[in-house]
Amino acid sequence: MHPDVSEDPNAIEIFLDVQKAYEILTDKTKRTQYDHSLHQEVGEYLKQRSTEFNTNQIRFQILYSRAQLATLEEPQLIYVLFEAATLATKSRKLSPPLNVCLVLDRSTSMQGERMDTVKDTAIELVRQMRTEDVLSVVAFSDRAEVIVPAVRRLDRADAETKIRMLGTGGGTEIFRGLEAAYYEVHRNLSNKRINQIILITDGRTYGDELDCLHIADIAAGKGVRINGLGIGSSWNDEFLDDLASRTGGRALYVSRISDLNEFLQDMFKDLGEVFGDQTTLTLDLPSGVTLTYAYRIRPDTSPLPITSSLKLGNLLRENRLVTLLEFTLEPIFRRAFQHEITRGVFSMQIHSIEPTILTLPIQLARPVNHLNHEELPPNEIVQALAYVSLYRMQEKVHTEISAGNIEAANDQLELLADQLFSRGENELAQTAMMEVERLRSTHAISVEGSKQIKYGTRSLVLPSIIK
Amino acid sequence: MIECPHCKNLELVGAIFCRECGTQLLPTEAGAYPSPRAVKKTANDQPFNHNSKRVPQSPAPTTEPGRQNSPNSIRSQAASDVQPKPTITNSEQTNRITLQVLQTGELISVAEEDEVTLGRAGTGQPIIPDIDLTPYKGLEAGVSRLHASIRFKGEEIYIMDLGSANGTRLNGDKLPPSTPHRLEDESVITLGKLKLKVLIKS
Repeated sequence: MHPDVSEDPNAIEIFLDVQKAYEILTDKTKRTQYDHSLHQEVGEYLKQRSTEFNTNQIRFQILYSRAQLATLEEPQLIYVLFEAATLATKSRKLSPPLNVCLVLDRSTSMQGERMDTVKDTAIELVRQMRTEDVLSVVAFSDRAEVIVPAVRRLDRADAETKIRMLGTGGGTEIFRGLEAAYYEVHRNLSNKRINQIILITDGRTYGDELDCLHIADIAAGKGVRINGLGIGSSWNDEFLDDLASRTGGRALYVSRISDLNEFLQDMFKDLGEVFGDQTTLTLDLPSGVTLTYAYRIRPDTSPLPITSSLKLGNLLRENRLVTLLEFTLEPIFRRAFQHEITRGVFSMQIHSIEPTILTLPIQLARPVNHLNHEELPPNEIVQALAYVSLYRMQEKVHTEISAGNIEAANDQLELLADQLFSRGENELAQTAMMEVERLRSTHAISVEGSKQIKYGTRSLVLPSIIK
Repeated sequence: MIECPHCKNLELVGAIFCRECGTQLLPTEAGAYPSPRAVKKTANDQPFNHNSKRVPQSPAPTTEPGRQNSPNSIRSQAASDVQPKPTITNSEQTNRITLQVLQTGELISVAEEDEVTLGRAGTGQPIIPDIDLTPYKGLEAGVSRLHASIRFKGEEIYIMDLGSANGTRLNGDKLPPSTPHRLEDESVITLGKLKLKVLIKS
């Protein structure tokens, strides 16, 4: 403990704190003063509406949109921002070995520049793998073929030749590819590795969606994440989003094939920075409380499927994991010191020298008081919601279209365009306006436009993207 | 229920944005958003090009309360206050250096002059820093009125502590006052407790 003997870099501060604590506790007047200041601190703490605690080199923060709930004869909302951040450590940087399978669509539509770029990128990745990594490659059309098997010692030259020789032809049956990929990843499945399937496709799969989702659930259960990259405009974004988000992964829209390399390189860079993966927030909602929306804000931005088990994505070193939750509460009639919003458990596989699983019980609760002037919500929540709400407007456009309410969809899209203009997102706003015109004349929205607006509004949520 | 002042849509108590039209229903906590004058020459100074007649006419953004009466004013407030996403503005294209408030991710663009002072503008004091950190919780973080300065010498950029009360740190190391230290991209400077990441365009 004493700074002279302790190796802790913060030993001096801790020692001084202890001294100060002793001084205060032994002196009656100082103690009274301190207790008084503590009281103010608690007041300050309530005002901030947040709780913070540290464990296993992670700082957790829970931020509420409202300091208290209200006694109310109608339902009410509260937003909760859940954050986990790695604490800066001076310990050795540890990059867990990878166990990744690339699943490449080789259907006829990939012919030409698309396939060439995919091949170049795959070869580049093969060259970048370290000796401890396992990279396998599966190509599929209406059947799958293991091009590079998942072996410990990758024969790079051989892998390169085989990738180079890949030809195109046939339809798109994603299940074939996923099945083969899962088998490859499964051969080296280990909690010491980062297990991941990366699916690259440009088409729609027909009839085997449910099989694909089933295999995604199995993969998720084994800690294998699936990321999807959709090239061009004809792939099925709803399906790919669903597939990826079930495993804590995400789907990305590659509008120009030339961007593919950058997307994949970023993805692999992140894989090398993983501090913890398989993060799950399992909620045990009491009756009278519904989780009405969940959105992952960091490390990447995507909506989360509403289930009792939310997959929050990977926590990267020196980075944050942020999720925004919207709870709807049934009428509350009595004032209370604590009203439970939910209980839950946060769990994560931590990749340190010895892989460990962190589990942490969480309780969300707020006092209930009569509705009066409420304090304003904290900025972090407003900032996040400002853009998440645009994404939700976009979702609503699609809901209205599929319900056949073209006029309502039209109005909604115009309002979205207005918001985008007023926030300076002119390019995206113009895309939205063009789709308004299209919707008016053809009663449908284009596949490009809809993807641009969807993934465009999604990317707006991530603050401070500087390139 | 809360009625959206813009589209009359009804939202539940606790809602912050209208789900129908995206209008912000509650004003933001005062002081935490950078006011246009705190951020030098950012998008807030210049109205962007709407390119569309559909955009509602927004009156000049103001921050005083009590103008929540007309739907339009609230709407414009939503539009101007909710500017948290740092879009790359013109100034950021020309200015070499941008400071990012680590806590919130907000960006402060630094105009290139020989010396740019960082600090806190108090009321009724003659010294006004070039960049006022009050909106970024500078007071709470213990930023002095004249805390530090950023100097440009040719290609190189330096930080210098101006004898502040709570000190300046560069990447965690405390700087002696009045001695310039070179800044690099991704350096983190700490004024009191306020952490700013330095982003330099190469």
